[in-house]
Amino acid sequence: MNAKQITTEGLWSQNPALVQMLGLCPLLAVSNTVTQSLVLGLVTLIVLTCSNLIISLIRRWLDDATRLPAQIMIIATFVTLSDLLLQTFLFEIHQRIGLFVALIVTNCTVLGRAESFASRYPVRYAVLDGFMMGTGFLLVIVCMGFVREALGQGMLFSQLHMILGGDQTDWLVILPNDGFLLMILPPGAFLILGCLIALKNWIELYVQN
Amino acid sequence: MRSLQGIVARLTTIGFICALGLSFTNYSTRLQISDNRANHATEKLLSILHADVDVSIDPLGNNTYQISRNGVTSGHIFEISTTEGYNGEIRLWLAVDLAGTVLGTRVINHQETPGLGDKLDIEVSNWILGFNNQSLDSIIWAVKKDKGDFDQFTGATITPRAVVTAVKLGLIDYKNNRDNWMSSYER
Repeated sequence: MNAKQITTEGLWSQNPALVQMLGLCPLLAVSNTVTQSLVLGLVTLIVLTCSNLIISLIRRWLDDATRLPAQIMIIATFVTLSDLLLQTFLFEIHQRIGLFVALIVTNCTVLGRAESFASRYPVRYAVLDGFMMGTGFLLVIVCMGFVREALGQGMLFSQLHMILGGDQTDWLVILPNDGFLLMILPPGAFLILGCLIALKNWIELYVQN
Repeated sequence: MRSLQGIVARLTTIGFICALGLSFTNYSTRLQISDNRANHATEKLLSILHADVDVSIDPLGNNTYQISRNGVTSGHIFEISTTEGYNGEIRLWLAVDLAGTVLGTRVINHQETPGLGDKLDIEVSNWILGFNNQSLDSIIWAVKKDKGDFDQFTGATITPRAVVTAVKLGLIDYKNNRDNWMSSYER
């Protein structure tokens, strides 16, 4: 196990969204704008890194009987903490994605990494693994946010002022195309995700040959 | 295999530490969060009315506000809510003039599905403006799917149905209680 391998696995070869297909519920539901995707992706990244850190720290102290309940408790704590902090500092955006922030606790990526990685490896690897898996998820969800907001609404960054301040017009980019409703709806999310998975597989094949 | 006591002791310790962290965060953020909620609500209140200089809003308590124009009472704003939505409670402000005509309504808080049910939010769509200038007799208070006059959303009927019903009940409530609010304020 080395840092390079952990990085490639998280970002590419074991990408939680494109390869392991975990955490699809928030990925599909929230990715209709860039800003929502960005915030949910970042919160997932932070929860994943923090929970991996703590779970790896106490891994020798837990056994088969206590491991799972302890992991879930730790993950749920970090999720609730992020939920409270979002309500404090980014209230507007929390109004949009609050439901899915709370649902991060059921994101299989988080428990999956805790159980299969953090509870077996030293802290520095566990933290890196959480960070890279989180980044892999973040990249995919933001990518979907871009495509869906651009095609579905014909604009980009329509909610960016909610996290960066200023007026909506400071950030909004109007694109020449009209909105295509299907892209904002769940079927659009499935289509885009399918295209991204196909693209990833195609690149892999292309590089191999 | 560890003893039962060992398991209980470990889980209790972790649970205790988690609870401690959560209570601390909850304690230090609760004022800011309730502030955010209140600001969010007040901003929406003013935007409902397109408030000009002549309009003032005075709290009557119980989440009820009196609208006065040039010092004369012209209507009320009050909170209505419904749990008939898709997920959790939807809370709204309803502004009504004395004759029972809707001046405006806005969602305060909701957890409807982003991209589907959240079109009741003014920042997502203009649907909620469809209530403006309507009264109990001016329109059929149901979504089109139920042979009424209100649009439903693409892919989401439950949310608009819940809101239409809530506003209708709010108007009926206002009709019955308006005089109580007026007199309790004057007293």
